[in-house]
Amino acid sequence: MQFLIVDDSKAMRMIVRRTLRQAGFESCEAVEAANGMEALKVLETAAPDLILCDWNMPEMSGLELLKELQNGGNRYKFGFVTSESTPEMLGAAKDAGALFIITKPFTPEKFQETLQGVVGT
Amino acid sequence: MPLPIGETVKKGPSAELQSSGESICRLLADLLGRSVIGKKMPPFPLTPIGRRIVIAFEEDDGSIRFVLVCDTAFAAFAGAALLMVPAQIAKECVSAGQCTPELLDNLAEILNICRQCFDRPGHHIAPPQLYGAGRAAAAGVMSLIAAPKQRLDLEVKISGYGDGRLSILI
Repeated sequence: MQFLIVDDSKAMRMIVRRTLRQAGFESCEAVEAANGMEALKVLETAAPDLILCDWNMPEMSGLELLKELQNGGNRYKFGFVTSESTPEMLGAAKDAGALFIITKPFTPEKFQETLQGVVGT
Repeated sequence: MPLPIGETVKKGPSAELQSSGESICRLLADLLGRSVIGKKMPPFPLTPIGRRIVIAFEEDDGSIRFVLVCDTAFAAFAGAALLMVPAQIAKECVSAGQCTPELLDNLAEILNICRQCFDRPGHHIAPPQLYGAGRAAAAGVMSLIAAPKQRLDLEVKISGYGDGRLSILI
């Protein structure tokens, strides 16, 4: 199983990796991108089972990335891992096709509970 | 030019501001995975500004919602604890009076997450702007630092790392 972690914070990408391991996904592979544009480049060669994406990023935001993928006939499972928690943004994410939103800070238990229903273990 | 050190604050922190300070400490504990204790302190000097790190939180319309000012110790200890960087590296930064870019990046991510402690329906706060380490704060931010309506000063003890100072100004 492969994850694509998209976040402009290197620290947060590392924390998401660590949390995935703690949540029981230790044998899974993870690839990274620092923004939506980079993610699109990564997707030219990778086929992740799930994209875990931040909301606010330079170049291309998480929501713009999701919409771009939808316009291109999205075949990826996509969820947000973000510090954004306003009802408007949560609604926009769901409307655009996000499967879930995990709000920072998060726990391994939250990852496990959320991801099990999306990709299993 | 030296800035006033809280003389212009007319009254103490409101219950809402104190509650936000408590929320920040709780959130830090969750995020860093260790005990974080905030203790209310008398106002501490915000100058010289070059030795402080200033973080401005603006609403989407550009108005400044609040400003955090921290010392190198808070920045180094919190930034290091996020990724379990050895405490000794953070202590060396405190001695030098300057954080590494990596620790500052970590601090920026921590404070980005802290935005939610100030959530108010219908008023979205944008990701924060971090000033310091050679980047001068905007004029509006400096005005707020010079004359805040309220401020809350905390000594924040991060278990396994050390104590730092954090001021919340609104």
